[in-house]
Amino acid sequence: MKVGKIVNLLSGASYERLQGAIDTSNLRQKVIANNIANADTPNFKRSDVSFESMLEQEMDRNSSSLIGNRTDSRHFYIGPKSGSMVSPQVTTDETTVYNNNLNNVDMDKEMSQLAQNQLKYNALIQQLNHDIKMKRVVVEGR
Amino acid sequence: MVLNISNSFNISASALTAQRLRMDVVSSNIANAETTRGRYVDGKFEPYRRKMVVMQPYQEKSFANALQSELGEPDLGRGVKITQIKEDQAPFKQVYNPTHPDADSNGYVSMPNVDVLKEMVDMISATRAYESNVTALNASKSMFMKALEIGK
Amino acid sequence: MMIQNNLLAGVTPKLTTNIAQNTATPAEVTKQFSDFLGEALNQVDAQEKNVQKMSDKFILGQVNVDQLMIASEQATLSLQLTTQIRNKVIEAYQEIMRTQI
Repeated sequence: MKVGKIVNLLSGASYERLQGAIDTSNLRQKVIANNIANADTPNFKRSDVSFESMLEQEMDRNSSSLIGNRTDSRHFYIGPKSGSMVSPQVTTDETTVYNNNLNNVDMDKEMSQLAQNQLKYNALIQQLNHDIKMKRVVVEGR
Repeated sequence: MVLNISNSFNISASALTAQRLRMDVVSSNIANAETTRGRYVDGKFEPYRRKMVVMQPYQEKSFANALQSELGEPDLGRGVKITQIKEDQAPFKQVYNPTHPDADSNGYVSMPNVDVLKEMVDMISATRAYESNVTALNASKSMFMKALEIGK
Repeated sequence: MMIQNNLLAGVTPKLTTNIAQNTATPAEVTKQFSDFLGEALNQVDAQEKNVQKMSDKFILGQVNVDQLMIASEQATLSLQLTTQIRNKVIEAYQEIMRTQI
C-alpha cells in the first residue's frame, strides 16, 4: 500500500518571510543589547541589523510586471517571482561621533529602538498565531 | 503614505537626544559660571562665554523620506536636532575685585556672562521637555499594544 | 462586513424563493448551494491572500499594525463562517439520510 506524504501545512513564501522577520527581531535584540552594554566603551561603534531594506529591494526586483514571451521551451523565464527572501545582516554604523572617546552610542536612540523591536516582535508573533489558527480551523473543521 | 510606528518613535527619540544635549550645555554653563580663564586670545585670557543651543526640525536622510518629499505628499513631521552650539555674544560682566589674580589695572575682573538663574530655568525647561517626550513615546507604545489586541 | 453581507444575502433570499415556488428540483438546489459554497471559498482565499500581502508590507514597514490585525481577523472570521455553514449543511444532510422509511 502506497502511503502519501504529509505536506507541511505551514509553508509558502509569505510564511518564509515572516520567519525571516522574526529571526531578524531576535538578532536585532542581541545587537541593541550589545550597543547598550558598550555605551561607555571608548572607540566603540554601534551596530545595526539590516533586513527590511534588503528585502524591499529584492521584492521590487522580483515584482516587475514585464513578463517575457516564451515561444520555445528553452527560453528563459522573465517575470515576477514570489519567492524573494534575504537573510539579516549585522552592519557597523561608522557615521556619527558623539563623544570625546569616539563612542557613537546614543542611549535614547538605543532605548527607542529596543522598544520598537519589542513591539514589532509582538506583532509578528500575533501574525504567526493567525496563520496557525487559520490552518487549525480547517484541520479541526470548526 | 508611509505611516508607521517607527516614525513616531524616531521623532520622540530625536527629541530626547536634543533635550539631553541641551541639558549638557546648561550644566557646562553652570559649572563654568566663575571661570575667568576660558580661552587664550591675543595674548590675554578671556573668560568663559555662555553657550546656547540652536534647534531645528530635522528628518533622517533615507530613501523613503526623500521619495515622499519629492512626491509632494504631506510632511508627516520631523524630529528635532541641535544643529549648532553658539556662543552668547553678550558683554562680560565687570566685577570690582582688585585682589583677584586676573584683575586688570583698574581692579576690575571680567567674569563669564552666565546668569545662573537663567540657566536654572533652562534646566527645568529641558527636564520637563524630556519628560513630555517620554510620555509621548509611552503613548505610542500603548497604542501599538492595544492594536495587537484587536479581535482577541 | 463584506463577506457577511454577501454570504447571508446569498443564503436567505434563495431559500425563501425556493420554498415559495416549490418547483426547484433537488439537483438544482444542490447546484445552487455548491456554487454558493465555491464562491464563499474563493472569497476566503482572496482575503487570505490579502492578509499575506499586508503581512509583507508590515514587515517592510509600509502598513500599520491595526490594519494588519483587522485584515487577519476578517480572514479568520470568514473562514470560520464558511466552515460552520458547511458543517451545518452536512449535519442536515446526515439527519435527512437517517430518516427511516
